[in-house]
Amino acid sequence: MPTQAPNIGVGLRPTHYPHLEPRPQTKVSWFEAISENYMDSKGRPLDMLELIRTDYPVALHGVSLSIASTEGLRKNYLHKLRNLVKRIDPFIVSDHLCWTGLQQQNLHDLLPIPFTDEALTLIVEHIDQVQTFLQKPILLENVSTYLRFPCGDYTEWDFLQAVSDRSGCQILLDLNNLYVNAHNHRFDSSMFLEKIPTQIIGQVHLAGYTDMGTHLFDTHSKPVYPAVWDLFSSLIARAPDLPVLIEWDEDIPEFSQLEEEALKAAHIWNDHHGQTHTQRISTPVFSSFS
Amino acid sequence: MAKLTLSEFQHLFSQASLRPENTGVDPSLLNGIIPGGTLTSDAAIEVYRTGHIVRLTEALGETFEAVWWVAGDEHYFQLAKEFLLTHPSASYNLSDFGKLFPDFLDKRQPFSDLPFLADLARFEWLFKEIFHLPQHTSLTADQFHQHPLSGNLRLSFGPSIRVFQSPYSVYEIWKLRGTIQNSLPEKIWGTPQWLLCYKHQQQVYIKHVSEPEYLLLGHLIAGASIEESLDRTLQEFSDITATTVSDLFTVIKHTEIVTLLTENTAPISGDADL
Repeated sequence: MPTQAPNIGVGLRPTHYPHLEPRPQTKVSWFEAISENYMDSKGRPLDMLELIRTDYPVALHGVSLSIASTEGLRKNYLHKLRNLVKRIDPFIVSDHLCWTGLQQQNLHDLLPIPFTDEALTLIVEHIDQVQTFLQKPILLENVSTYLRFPCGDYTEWDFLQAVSDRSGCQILLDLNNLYVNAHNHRFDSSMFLEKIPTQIIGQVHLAGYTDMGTHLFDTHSKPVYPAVWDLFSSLIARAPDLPVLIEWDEDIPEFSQLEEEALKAAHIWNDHHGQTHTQRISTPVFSSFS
Repeated sequence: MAKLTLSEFQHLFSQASLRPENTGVDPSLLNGIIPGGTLTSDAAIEVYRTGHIVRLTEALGETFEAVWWVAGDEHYFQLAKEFLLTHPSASYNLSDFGKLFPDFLDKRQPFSDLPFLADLARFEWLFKEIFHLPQHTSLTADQFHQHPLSGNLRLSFGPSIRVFQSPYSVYEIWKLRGTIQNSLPEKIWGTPQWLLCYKHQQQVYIKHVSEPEYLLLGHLIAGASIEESLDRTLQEFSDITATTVSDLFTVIKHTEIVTLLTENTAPISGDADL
C-alpha cells in the first residue's frame, strides 16, 4: 500500500481547518477549494486557503458559474472569481456543466440541461466569455441528473466532447456522476468512459452516492463505491497523469479517512503503472490561456 | 406539444422548484422531461424541489444557528421553508442567503413568548458578516499612548468593528445555543444589552458596554470627533461622567480596534507602512 498519493488531492473543507492549520505532513498532493467560499470572505477561510497554498497546489472549483444560464453570466461573479484566481494562482479553475437557477431565483443546485444544439451554442459562447475574461482555460464537470430530455440532439458523452471541441475547455470528469447517470438513465457506464477521449479530460473527481431506492442521488456523503473505483481503474490505465480528487461534502469524516481514500486511488494507480510515479503537482498543469 | 426552448424550460423549472406545497407542475414541463430511475416525472421534479428546500434550509441554519435552536427543528423547518419560498435567493453565493430573515421574523412574529427572535437573528447575521470581514492592523498601545487624546481627534476603526443593541439579552441566548434547556424564562432574555463586536486575530469577540458607551462608540465609529461624539452623547445622557469616558477609552485601547488617529493633518496609523 502506498504511503503517499501523488497527483491525488482532497477537497479543502472548514471542518478540517483545525487539523490543517498547524501545517502537518499529509498524504495528499493538492487541495481543491470551493471558489465561492473564498470569493466573498476576507476572514479566516481566506487565511486558511492562503496557508494551504503556501504548501500545496490548489485547484479552484466553483458551483455558481451557471454556464448554461439563458440569462447570461453574472459580471460581479466573474470579477470576484478573477480576483481570487489572481490571488491564489490555482493550477485548475473549474465549475459545472449546468445552470443553477435564474438570477433572481437562484436555486443553488447543479441543474440539468438538454443536450441540444441550442444549449451547446449558448454554453460555448459563455465558455469563451469566461476564458477570455479570466485569461485562463477552465474545466467543466459533468453533473448527476435525475431527469433527462426527449429532445436531445446528442448523447451526454457526445455533448461533452462537442463542448470541449468547440470551446477548447477540458472536462472535469466526475466518475461518481457518470455512474449515477448511467444507473438513472440506463446506459452502460463503461461504454460512456470508452467514448470519451482522454485528451479532453483535465481532472477526475471521485465521490460516493446514496441509493434512494428509486434512483441514485449524488450526495458526496460516502466512500467511493467499488463500481466507481472500477471506472477509475479503467480510466487511469489509459490516462496516468490526470489529477484526481476525492470529494466529500456531507457527513465529512476525519481528515485521515480522506487520506485513506486518496491512498486507495494511489494504490490503483500503482497497479497499472508501478511505483515509479512520484510526481507532485507543483507547477500549473496548463499553460497560460491565449 | 411543442418543444420547449432552453429559456422556457429554465423558467418553468424555476417556477416548479419554488411553487407552494400541493400545487401542480406545469404540464408542458412534465411532458418535456424523462424521469430518471423509477421516478415519475412529478417525482423527478420533486427531487430538485426538495433539494432546493433542504439546501437553503441548511444554509440558513448555518447562519441562524441560535434561531434554529430556540425555535426547535419542527418550527425552524417550517419558518425556513416559508421564508425561502417567498424570498428567493438573488445572489450567486449561498452564504448570502438570509439577509432578510430577521425582518421576516420581525413581521411574522412566530412565537408570542419569544419576542427576541428577530433581534437574535439580526445578531447572528451581524456575527456572520464580521467573521468574513478583513482583520485590521490596529494601533499599538504605545502608538495610542504617545498621542494625547484631544477633543478634535478622530478615531478610525477596523472594518469589522460594529456596535449592536437590543431590548433583549440576545448574546446570552446565543451563547446557550446547542445546550439542553427545558425553557427560556424571561430572566434569561429580558434585559436590554449594548454590545461592541470586533475582530482580533481573525476571531470575533463580543463585549458588553453600557448604553452611554454604546452611543459614544457609535458616534466615534461614524466618524465624529471625540468632542462631537461627547456632545451628542451628552444630549441623551447629561450625567455621563469623566470616568465613563475614560473607561471606554481604556476598552478601545485594550480591544485594539482603532487603526488610525487623525488630528488636523497628522495621522497616526496602525498600518506598518505609515
